[in-house]
Amino acid sequence: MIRHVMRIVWNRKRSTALMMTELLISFLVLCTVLSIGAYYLDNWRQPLGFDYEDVWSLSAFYPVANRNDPVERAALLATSRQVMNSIRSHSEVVVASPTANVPYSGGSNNWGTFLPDGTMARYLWSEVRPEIKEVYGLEVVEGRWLEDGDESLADLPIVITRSMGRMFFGEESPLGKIIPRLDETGAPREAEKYYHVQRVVGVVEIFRKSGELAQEPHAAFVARSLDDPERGRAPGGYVVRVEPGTTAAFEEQLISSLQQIAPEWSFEVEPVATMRSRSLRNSMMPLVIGATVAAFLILMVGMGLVGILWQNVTQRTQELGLRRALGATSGAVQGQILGELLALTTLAVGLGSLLFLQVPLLHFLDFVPGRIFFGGTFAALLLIYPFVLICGLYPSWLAMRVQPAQALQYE
Amino acid sequence: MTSPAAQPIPKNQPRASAIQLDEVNKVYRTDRIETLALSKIDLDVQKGEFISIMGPSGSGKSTLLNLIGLLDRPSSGSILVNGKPAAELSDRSMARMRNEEIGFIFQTFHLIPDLNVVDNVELPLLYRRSSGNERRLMAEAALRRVGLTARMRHFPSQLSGGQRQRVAIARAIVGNPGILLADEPTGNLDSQMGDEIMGILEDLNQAESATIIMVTHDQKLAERTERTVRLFDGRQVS
Repeated sequence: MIRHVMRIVWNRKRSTALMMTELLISFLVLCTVLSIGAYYLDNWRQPLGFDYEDVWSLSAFYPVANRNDPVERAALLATSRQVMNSIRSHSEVVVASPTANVPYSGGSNNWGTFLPDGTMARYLWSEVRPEIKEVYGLEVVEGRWLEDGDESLADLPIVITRSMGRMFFGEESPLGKIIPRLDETGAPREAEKYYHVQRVVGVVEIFRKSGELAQEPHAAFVARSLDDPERGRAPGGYVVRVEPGTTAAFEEQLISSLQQIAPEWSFEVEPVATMRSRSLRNSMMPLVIGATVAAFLILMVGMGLVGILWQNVTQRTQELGLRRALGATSGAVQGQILGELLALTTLAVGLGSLLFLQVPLLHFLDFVPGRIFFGGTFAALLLIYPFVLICGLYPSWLAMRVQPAQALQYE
Repeated sequence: MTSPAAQPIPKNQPRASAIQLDEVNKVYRTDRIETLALSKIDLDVQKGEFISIMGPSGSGKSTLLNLIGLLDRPSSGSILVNGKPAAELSDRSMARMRNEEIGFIFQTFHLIPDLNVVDNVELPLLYRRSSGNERRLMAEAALRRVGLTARMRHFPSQLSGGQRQRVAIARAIVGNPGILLADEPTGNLDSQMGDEIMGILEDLNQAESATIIMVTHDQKLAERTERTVRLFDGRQVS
């Protein structure tokens, strides 16, 4: 019977081309939606690498006349030290550190260099105080964390994430190695005035600044100097771990104490947990809209499929009557219609898989792991068959009801 | 035709009934109209008998053939096919009887245009337990029986009317049914082709004792059968 069904489908390939196209579109839409879903689900399941509960973000805004003026830089750094000390002086504050890369914030500070193959390698560049390890609850998985005095060493100690280590050094341990500084041809760059050699002293598992839904960035932490105007700059942001249960009233208190130290500066405080909620909401919105549009698209395709199948059954009334006359039960007639539909679906799925899997095979979206596409395709495979069976139920029910005596009357 | 009924039955020997109709009525009802298509039909067709049914258009010939072929149910009265009362058969049992005991030949052939000749002939065998190889062998044997082995891979559109009807006959006999129901089998053919088809039917009846009930408008063809049942306005007039 399977061979018969396949033969009918093959011999009717011209008349079933429209149905095949509908099925192909359904499958590709499902593959795309499910792969996007799998991508975000996969991201969600990865650890964040930091703790955001009871962590506040403090942004500092200060006027700058000339960023390169050493006198002004020294003055700004001095004020930053006072701000840092003032933050730490509050009993509600457990620990604090400057950083330009506050989790869930819009902006980020990055460093870039070329890899030997000429591609650009970017990584988050977080100039921090060693205390940030406690603020975030970071775990060092290899080597050591940053220490006081690291900021003054000739080779700048750097702690990197595991993925960054793999990017530069493959499966070798990155400890003790220097982050290569290459130009676009892959040759070492000439010495630069403000550049310090970055020597890896430790590895943390992961640090996903942009949160659960975003892809993992490569990230590095280096010690920031608040004393040396040559090597340090006034930070624009801080992260503060507060005692559990600290209320929003402390925000006002903290800002007013800082305002007394730096009257010309302005400050903003916000719990990182609040920033996370907002960030997730903003990230989810396009996903929800996209999923809704895709659902409507699939619904439309499904309705189109029902229509085509309906028409197909109507056109084949005589043939279905003949099959009944030759001994087919009503169930066998329904099986014939659904069997042909499944055979067509299998052809469409085969073609669709070939097309869709070109995306990872030809490296079109390299930032998405290949397994996401394969997983999405597999999930689409699991869904497309029940989907087409549901679409085929009513037309096949109509086919079951064909009365042979009536059907065979029509010429 | 290699069924148990394959041995020719001498015409003068008493034979068992293949089809028995007793007081069969068929009424078509709509919201407004009630149409009496068949009225009080009594008919006994013996195994191995070749009969014809004649009557003007609308007299109920095809309706009668549909009832005998278990394609429809009567409004009242009883029908026995090979001794089995049709009223007691479930839809599934009726489908099985159509498949195993009855073969249909239609005026317009009703071949599936997207299947080649041998696939068309195999069609009834798809609805019973048989392997692909068995089906193929049986279909080839049926095509050999109607002299069409040279056209097995052709599609219906590549055949003449007479060849198409021979394919339809091969399809009707492929499952070795004891009863063949032919609804104006020569109606769409010229006289020469019609004669050929009639010859095949006669041969099946004589050589293999197939019970054949043929609806026809052609008096000459009817005269070649053992007896003729005449219908007029749904009533049996002879």
